[in-house]
Formats: sequence, structure tokens, C-alpha cells
Amino acid sequence: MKKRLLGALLCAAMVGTMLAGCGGSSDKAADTSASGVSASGASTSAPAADKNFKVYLITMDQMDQYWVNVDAGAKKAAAELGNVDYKWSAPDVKDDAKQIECINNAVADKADAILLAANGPDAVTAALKEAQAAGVKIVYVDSAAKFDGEATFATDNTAAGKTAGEQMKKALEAAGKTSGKIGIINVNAATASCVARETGFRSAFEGSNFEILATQYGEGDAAKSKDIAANYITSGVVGIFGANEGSTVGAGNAIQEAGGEVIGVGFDKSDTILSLIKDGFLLATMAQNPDVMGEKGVKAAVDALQGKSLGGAVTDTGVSVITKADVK
Amino acid sequence: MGRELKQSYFKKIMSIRGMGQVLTVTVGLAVLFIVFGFLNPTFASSKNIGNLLRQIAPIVLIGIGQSFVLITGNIDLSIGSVVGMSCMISATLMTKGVNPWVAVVITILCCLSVGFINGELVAKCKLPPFIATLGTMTISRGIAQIVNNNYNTDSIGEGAKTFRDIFYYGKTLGLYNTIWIAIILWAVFNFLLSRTRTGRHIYAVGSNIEASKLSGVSIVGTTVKAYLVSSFCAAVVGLIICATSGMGTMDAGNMYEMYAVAASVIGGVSTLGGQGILLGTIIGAAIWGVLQNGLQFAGAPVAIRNIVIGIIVVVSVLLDVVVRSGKPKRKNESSGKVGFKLKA
Amino acid sequence: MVRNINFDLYEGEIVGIAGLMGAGRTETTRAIFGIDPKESGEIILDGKTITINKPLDAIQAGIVLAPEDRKKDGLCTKLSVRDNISLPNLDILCNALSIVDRKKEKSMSEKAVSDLKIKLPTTEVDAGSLSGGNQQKVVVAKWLARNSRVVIFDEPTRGIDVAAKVEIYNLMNELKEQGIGVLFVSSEMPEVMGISDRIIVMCDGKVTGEMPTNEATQDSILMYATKFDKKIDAVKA
Repeated sequence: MKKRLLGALLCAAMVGTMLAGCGGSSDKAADTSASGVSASGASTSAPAADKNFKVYLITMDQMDQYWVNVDAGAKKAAAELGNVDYKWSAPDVKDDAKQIECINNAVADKADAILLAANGPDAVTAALKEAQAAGVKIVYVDSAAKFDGEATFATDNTAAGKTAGEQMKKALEAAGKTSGKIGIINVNAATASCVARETGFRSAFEGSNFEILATQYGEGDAAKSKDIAANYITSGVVGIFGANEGSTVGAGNAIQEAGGEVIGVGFDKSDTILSLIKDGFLLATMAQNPDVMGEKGVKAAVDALQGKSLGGAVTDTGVSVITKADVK
Repeated sequence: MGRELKQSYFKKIMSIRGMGQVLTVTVGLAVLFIVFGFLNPTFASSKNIGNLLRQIAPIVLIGIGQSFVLITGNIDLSIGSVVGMSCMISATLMTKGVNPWVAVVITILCCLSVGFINGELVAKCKLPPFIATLGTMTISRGIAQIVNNNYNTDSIGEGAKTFRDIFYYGKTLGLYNTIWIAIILWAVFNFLLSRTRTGRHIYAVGSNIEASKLSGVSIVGTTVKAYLVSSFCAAVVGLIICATSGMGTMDAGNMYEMYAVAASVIGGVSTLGGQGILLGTIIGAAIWGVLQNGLQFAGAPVAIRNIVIGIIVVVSVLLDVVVRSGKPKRKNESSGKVGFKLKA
Repeated sequence: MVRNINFDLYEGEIVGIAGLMGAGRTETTRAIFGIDPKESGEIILDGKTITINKPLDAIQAGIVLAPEDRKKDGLCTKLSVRDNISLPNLDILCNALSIVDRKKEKSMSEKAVSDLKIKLPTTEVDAGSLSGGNQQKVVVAKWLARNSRVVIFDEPTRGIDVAAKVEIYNLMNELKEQGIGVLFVSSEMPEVMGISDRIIVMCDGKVTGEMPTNEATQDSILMYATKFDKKIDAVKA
């Protein structure tokens, strides 16, 4: 009699834990190396037949508004699909080693797929190999690594850089200038996306009489970039290109201070950049579509997890050229 | 008669402690200036000089703060993060409609509290300054990130135009206001360090804590004061950056504590404490600024820039250590030889 | 750890504290001066009980100390002689705004140097560059500008040449004549017996004996200096 009761109790306990495990789990705070606000994704508590897919978004850091937009797009897709446990994780600063840690932690946390914006295309390949060996599907957003993934959703930075260059050239020619010096403010020599933008920008000026000076690096810091831009202006440049948000803000501020003659073109969107455009101190900025990357990335990850073969397709999520006419 | 006066003037200046190093680096500065001017004449144009001085001003300010702390024999690694914290707090408040001057006051108070904490951790809790300020560095950077929910702020808006002019864009009597801010604060802190009781205490604590204690100096009070100066200067630089960019950026001030150490050490402030004058810090900051600015005009690749700057810092520290340890001792100490005259 | 230290010091006398190393003499001076915390005890000066929790309290009450290790505790060796002399006297040298009166400071250090016959090229030299004897004089010079009531010397003549020693003894006698109470710790028996009016002997953290100098002999001092509570057993052969 006693034995039977014990047996029944044990069975009840087992069934109980199984049911609890199936129901969607609420997410804990995401993995970060230092204090930082992180978003936890929507999850469903569907006792459905398929289990939920655990999808991790790992970006370069959590500070840039840009990554927040990727996360927003990803969250949107996760909510629409309904079968995704979504988490956003990133290091506190742009750092290869820290991003590798995030990837490893995601794998240890039994992620089914990882959406990655690779900080260093070579550095993370070993970690990705391990992840893939553990069965994790890899999708790239914004910056791919040198390792085959299911799909990539990114801005074709080279094309976008070229567009920026063409915008500047057009405006210079309209102002009657066919030659002169142009300065580039980039982040550093390592970030692949920014390097690609610069390459694209330079290609727009090939064969022209414009001289593009040696690139200066401002680490993406708006104040440092402003100093660099001011120095360019003192050297008599006719145009300045900022390869990311901070560089663009710096360029715009310097152009404003100098009276607005120099043509400035930049990358990324932010409140300050938009007001600089509105006031006429920046000609245009290339606004990327980070939310599209996040959204399409999550959808692709789920497709891959459901067996679809994406073949590593690269999708250009494009840039919109934002000029004064576009800013209300 | 004229020559005698000149000689005694020179002697008087040379007799001020720390002037030797200051004069050496001033010569170095002049050389750098001439070289860069030669490599690219635009470097020496009045337009660039104006910009250059304005680029040097924030380095002077953080240099002053770090010098105060170095002279007490400690170090402040939190300077850069406090700059970021200051930039973010002021910008966030302004974007939310707070009057810029109220925002300035609140920002400065917040930053001063970091300085206070640094001083207490080091002097009262006896934590090594490297560790204590490493901790506050991380915490301050974290606050800079959290203040606007982990993003950079929006534009601080038209209402902040006067603020931006006063801290950065405006000129007074032909010099950018930023330069005046640096000059005024340098004058105030230099006076504090060289002519007041607190200044004497700062040198004494850096020179020998035990002996200072036995002379009635409050070690905790003096240490805290030095860290407060450092945080105040970092706060002002954060405000300058906020005015420059017209927005708050979370990574503002990154690595500034190191530039501050470089400026101080090049100028003759010893990392061992008790030595150095703020005039040297100005020259150190100027050398730093001239290198950054001049190397851009000279078209030098970025890697070379870092190497050159690093070499200069190492050489300055080396000189500092070698000169300090090699000072000649009096003959009858540690020489070990004793002469006897034997009676026959 | 020192305990049960009770003694009186009168105006215009020199009291020598003798004992072996480790007897607790330096600890006593440090406790009086407020460097180390006291568990219990009172310091009564001129009939009034004074609270001393830190050296500043002692200095303000008129009790000053020239410590045992002059390089480690007594001087900022890399600062100038002038800076060292003025450091504890900034309250006298500064005005209401805490600004140092440099003229006053210069004359204070020059007076100290001439009064004590300190040999140096100028008062701007590093204090650490002076000879042992001159360094000791600087350590003492710091306190002479103040109206101290009690001056404590801890091993004042250790490591200095004979001529300087004599000058220190003369200084102590001058202080005595000015009505200052001089307390001095020394391990040199002839010195203690030569210059003090009374001798206190300590052993193992306690005062074990007290006597006027004219009644003291080397043997009696030694006896008190070795009067441990527990008998130290001789090592068995």
C-alpha cells in the first residue's frame, strides 16, 4: 500500500516538472559584462506541440541607439512569430574577447540560434565553430564574420559609402567646385563596416580632381571627431565625410562653427544629426535600417531552425539618404 | 646693471622647485612647434593656433586634477569616466528641459561626490588608489550609461545655446571661452597649491605620510581635497564636451585619465608624490595637444602617432625616476670612507 | 602594548626614560602624542585634562614630539628645509584665508636655522640632503617656533656626530631653562644619566622604577630595566 502511494507521488512529481518545463519561461536579465540596461524579449507560454526556439541577439555593445533599433526589430519579429524565446546580449564595450564570451554564454544557455553583429570578423570564428558544432544556427546582422552563416542581413556598406560620396560630389559640382581637398573621419582601422564605407566613399571620387586626405580616426567620439573636422577645415577642405554617428556629429558641429561652407555627409541617424541637417550644416546622412536587420534576422533564424536551407544568402537592407527635405 | 637684474631674475625662477623640468619641456614644446610648423605651415596659422589652444584646454583641466592627486602620492583612474558621467548627466537634464545652469550645478555636485568617495576609500579605508579609483571608474561609467537608459542623448536644443557658447563656441577678447576657463581654473588651483595651507599639506602628504601625520596634517582631509579637485576638473571637461557636441555621449572622456597622467608626468609631476608644479602640467598638456594636432597636419599615419606619444610619456617617466633616485647625497652620508690620521 | 604608565613631568625639568629595546618607551611617547589610540588613560596638562586623539590635538595643546626614526617619521626628505619647518606651524604662518605669509615663513625658518646652528647652503635644499645631526636639528626646529609646554625627544642623538650631540644637549637645557618640560627616551645610559634631572625606567610595557638622577647608578637602572614580571629561565645547559 505504502509503496503504491510513494510511486504515485513520484509520478505526479515527474509529470508536474515536465509541464512546468514546457510552458514558456520568463526571461532573466540578459548577459552583460557590466551594468547596463538590457531588454528581455517577449515569450509565449504556449504549451504547443513545437517547443519555442531560443534566439539570442549578440551585438557589438548595448550603448549605440543603432543596436537598440536592431533589438526592436528582432523583438517585433519574435512577437509576430510567437514561437521564439528572445534574448539580447552584448559586451559593455566593443571588444572581441568580450563578444566571444557572450557567444559562449549563449551556447551554454542552450541557444538555438544566434543573431550576431561581429565586432571582429576573424576573432569570433573559433567561438562560432564551437557554436555550430553544438547545433546552433548562425545568422549575421550588420556585420558578418569570416565564417559561413545561414544568412546575412546587413547594409552593403561599400555601396552605401559610394552613395554618400556621390551625394557629396553632386553637391560640390552644383556649387561650382570640381577640385579641392576632402577629409574623412573614421572610427578606427579595424571595424569592417566603417572601413567598407570609406572604401565606397573613395570610389565615388575616382578619376575626379578632388584630393582625399589621409583618413583620421576619432574612435567614434563626437568631441574628438569635431576637433579632427575643425583641423580639416583649417586645412581648407571643401567636404568632410563622417563614417558613423559620432564622426558625423563631430563633422556637423565643426561645419556649423566654421559658417557652413563645407559640405558634410555622414552615416547613421540621431536627433542631433537630424537637427544639423535641418539647419543646413550637414548635407545628408545615410540612414541604415537596423530594425529591418533585426526583424529579418529573427525570421531567417526560425526558418533555418525549421529546416529551411537559406544558403548563406546576403541581403542588403539598404540605406535611405536623408536630406533637409526629409526632415520635418 | 641690466645684466645683473636679468641674472638674478633667472636665478629666482630657477630656484623654484620643479622649474628645471618645466624649462626643459618648454624647450621641447618649442621644438615640436617649429617642426610641425615647418612640415605644414597651416599648422602655425592663427586659425589653427586658436583651435589648438582650445583643444589643449580640456587636457590642462584634467591634468590639473590628476596632478593634485599625483602630488599626494595617489592616482585617479576615474577621471575619464567622470568626464563621461558629467557629459551625460548635464545633457540628459537639458534634454528634459532643465535649465542649463541648474543642470551644471547638479552635474558638478554629482561628480564631486565621486571625488569624495575616492578620497574616503583611499585615505580612510586604506584601499590602494589604483584599486579604489578603478572601482569608481567602472561605477561612474555605468552611471553615464544608465542616466539616459543606455543611449546617447538627443540634442540639448536651442535653449542651451548660451551654455554652448560659454563653455565652447564663444570667444572673449579674442580667445575662445574654453581657453579662459582653463586659464582661470589653472590660476585658482595653482594659487591653492602653491600659496595656501592646503597646498602645503598636499605636498607633505605626497612626500611622507607619517611625518605629515606627526606634524598635525589631516591625511584623510588632504587626500579627499585632492580627489575633489580632480573630480571637479573632470566635471568641467564633461560640460565642455557636452557643449561641443550639443548632446551627451556615453563614451565621452574615454582614456582621459591616461592623458591626464601623461600631461602631468611630462610636466614634471612625479608619480611617486610630493613633487611637481602646475605650470609643468600646462606644458605637458600643450605637448600632448600639439602632438595630436600637429601629427594630423603632418599627415602622419595613426599608428605612428600612438607610438610617438607613447615614447614621449615613457621617456618623461624614466627621466622623472632617474633624476629623483640619482640626486647626489651629502658627502659624509653613505660614502663609507673614513680617514684616520695616526699619531706616530 | 603599554599599561599602567603613570608619571608626572614638571616645568623646567628633563626626565629621561630608560629601558631596553622593546620596553615600550616609543609606544608611550606615541600614545601621548596621539599617534596610536589609547584604550584608557588621561593626560593632564597644567591641571586641565586634555583629549588627545590625534597629533594635531597634542600640538595644539602644546605637547610636541621629535620621533625616533627621523627619516621615516620626522622629516619629508624630498621637501625643502623651509617646508619641513613650516609644516606644523602653518596655523601661525597663515592668515584668515589660509594663505601662507611667505615673508613670515622665511624669517621663521631662518631664525630656526641660526638658533640651532643648522649647517646648510640655503633653506631651500632638500631636508634629506643634510647630515644626520643637522637633520635632527630640523626635526626639533619645527617645534621651537611654537610655545610648547612639553617637548618629547625619542632617541634624539642616535646616528649623529659628537659635536651635534652636544648641541642637542645644550638645546634641551635651554628648553629646560625656558620652563618647558622635556621628556626624552634614550638607550644610551651615559646620556640619560648625564642630562636628566629624573629617570624613569620601563620594562616590558610598564614603568618599573623612578628615581632622581643623583641617586641613580647604571646598575640600578639596569635592574629596573630587566624587572620582568615572569622570571626568564636560564637556558638549561
